[in-house]
Amino acid sequence: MSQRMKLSAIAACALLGGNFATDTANAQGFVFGTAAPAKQGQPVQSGVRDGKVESAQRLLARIGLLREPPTGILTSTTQDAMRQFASQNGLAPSNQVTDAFLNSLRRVIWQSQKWSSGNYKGREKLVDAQGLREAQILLGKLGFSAGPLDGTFGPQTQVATEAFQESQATSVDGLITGTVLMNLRRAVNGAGSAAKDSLRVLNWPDYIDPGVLLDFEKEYNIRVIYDIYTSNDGLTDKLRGAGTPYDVVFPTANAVPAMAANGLLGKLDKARLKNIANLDPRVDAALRSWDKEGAFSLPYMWYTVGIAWNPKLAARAYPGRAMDSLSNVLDPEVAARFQSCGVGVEDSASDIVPLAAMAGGQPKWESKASLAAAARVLERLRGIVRVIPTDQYVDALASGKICVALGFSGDAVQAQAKARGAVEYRVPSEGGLLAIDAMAVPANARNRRGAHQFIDYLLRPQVIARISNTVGYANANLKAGEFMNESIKSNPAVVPSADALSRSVPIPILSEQDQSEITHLWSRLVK
Amino acid sequence: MATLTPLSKAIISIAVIGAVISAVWHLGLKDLIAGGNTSAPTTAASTTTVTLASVAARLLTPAPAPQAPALPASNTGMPSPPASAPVKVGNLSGSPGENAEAGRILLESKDYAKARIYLEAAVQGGDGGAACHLGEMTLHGQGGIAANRDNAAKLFQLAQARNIICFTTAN
Repeated sequence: MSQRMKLSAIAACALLGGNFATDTANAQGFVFGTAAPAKQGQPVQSGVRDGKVESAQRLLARIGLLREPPTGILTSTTQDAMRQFASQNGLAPSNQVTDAFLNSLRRVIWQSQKWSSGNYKGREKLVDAQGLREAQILLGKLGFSAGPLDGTFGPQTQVATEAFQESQATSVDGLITGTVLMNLRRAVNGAGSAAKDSLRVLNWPDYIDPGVLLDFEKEYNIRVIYDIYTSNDGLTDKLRGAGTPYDVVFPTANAVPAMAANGLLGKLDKARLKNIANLDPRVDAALRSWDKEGAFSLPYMWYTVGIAWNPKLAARAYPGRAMDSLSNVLDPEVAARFQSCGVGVEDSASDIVPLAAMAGGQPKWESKASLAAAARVLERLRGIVRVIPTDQYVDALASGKICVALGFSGDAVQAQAKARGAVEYRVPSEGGLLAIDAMAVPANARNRRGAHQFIDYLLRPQVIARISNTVGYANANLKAGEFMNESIKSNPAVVPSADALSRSVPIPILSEQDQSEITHLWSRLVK
Repeated sequence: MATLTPLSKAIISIAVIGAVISAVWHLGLKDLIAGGNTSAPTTAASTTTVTLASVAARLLTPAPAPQAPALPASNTGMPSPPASAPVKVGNLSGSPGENAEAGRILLESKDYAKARIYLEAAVQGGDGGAACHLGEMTLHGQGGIAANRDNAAKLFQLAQARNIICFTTAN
């Protein structure tokens, strides 16, 4: 699973209505110059540690001009990078980090990373104007001055956010996303805000209920620092990186063997997990398709990769067609009939390519044969089937821009909620992929005790049910059923029938070679 | 351990489960002969390793049918209902697949006690699908099997080692 996003009901609620995309884009228009920081002038002298220099270094590193970690000290390497930036962007060369220079730097990054148009950070949405105002207030309370509480995202708010992220040793980008706002709220009002002990959790975006973190902090008198990643590769990078280590992570199960083999994960101490008996032994056994001994991981949430469609639109395009077949997307002749209403695949090559191999007659992943089979299938789909970015998939389905597509069950559940039921999802009749996101403790975790407490907390039926209710994914807890919303637990898109699941294949473990071949195959389809 | 192939794991898993079944059976048999003394199950674990090799050898021979009648005592340590045990002996001569199918059909008609006998025979013959069904019965305590999550987990893992995923709708 290379890329995907998880939209929670919370995010949907927070970003009310269908027009939020344009609203927040305006609300967060980056106002350069008008909301400039109060302190003007005063260029920084070299040799002295300075916050502005540190910001500049961080921003220069982000666009690849500086390869040093930010130190806050104006070195000659930093000045070289500044000159290079100035010449690339037609600015007057400068040896000092002025506010004007920082603003130009931010403007370039803002534009080159398409924050202004995309309204997304990676795969996580930025908060709306109201959330931004709240964040500004909270930043102020923590002593990071965010400037006027105007609900617009200006340079000063970004600087304050960077400083806050820095203080937590989480990913620093200066953007106020749902995760950052959640961290701010806990840092100010959380029971753990004054606690000495801290626990660092790294998870997919929108994959937790914020209340669960609050309650955990309260019960264990611990401060939770929460960070996100958007791909298993991103997680691997963070685990390998030099930054402050994390204590609990949630890799997709097929990424666990490589992470364990590379020494990135530690063995779980299951004796410390008194709630482990709540785990569904069926899901736990399935996890061993990847983590052979079950030593490194336990199941968190599970889902399938299958086919989603809009019944009304699809029936108009191809009346009477059975919609739960892979052929509706992967057979070019059938797919062509849905072209009028939109036929697509979610932009997650490591999930869709194995499905294509299955459709091409390779039910079990065998590198060469499967890649060849997938290539034959995908080759014929060019120009017919659209590749839909993961951050647009839910909306494309919900709004009817596409009428049939292959993608994650959880995204289909989100689309269902948005479209008030006008989206269906099934495990394909030919078979789908089954995946589990696991809970694991990195080998370099500093708080192993806290990590096990947190995992044990997530093994409580009420706790994990609350998360399922929020994020729309099925959990692996035998006793959680009675605490789950009917709309989640009786939804075949969340919990497919036993029959449908019996047709599912565990998402394959892909070698690096597989990965690169898949990327190559995919690039030809995307074009 | 990390380098074991799925096949060798399957064989080891079968051997372990077989050993437990065998140990319990010996104890259960003793009980029957001794006239129904029911204190046996507590010592089952300690005898497991003793019979491991012999059971593994027995399981690896391609003729599981003659052993099938030895199965009425389950791996849970509970003596099976005496009424159903002798009745099915003559019908267990099928292949593991056939026994599994017979068990599945009996499960559909909710005849758990009979289904259990066929499924146990099929599991001993190495049928992964039957391990799912028997695991399910063990999880819910059906067919005279005492509900036991750990034993159920072992059966689900046995199935997994044969590339069968025992997911069912949670209910």
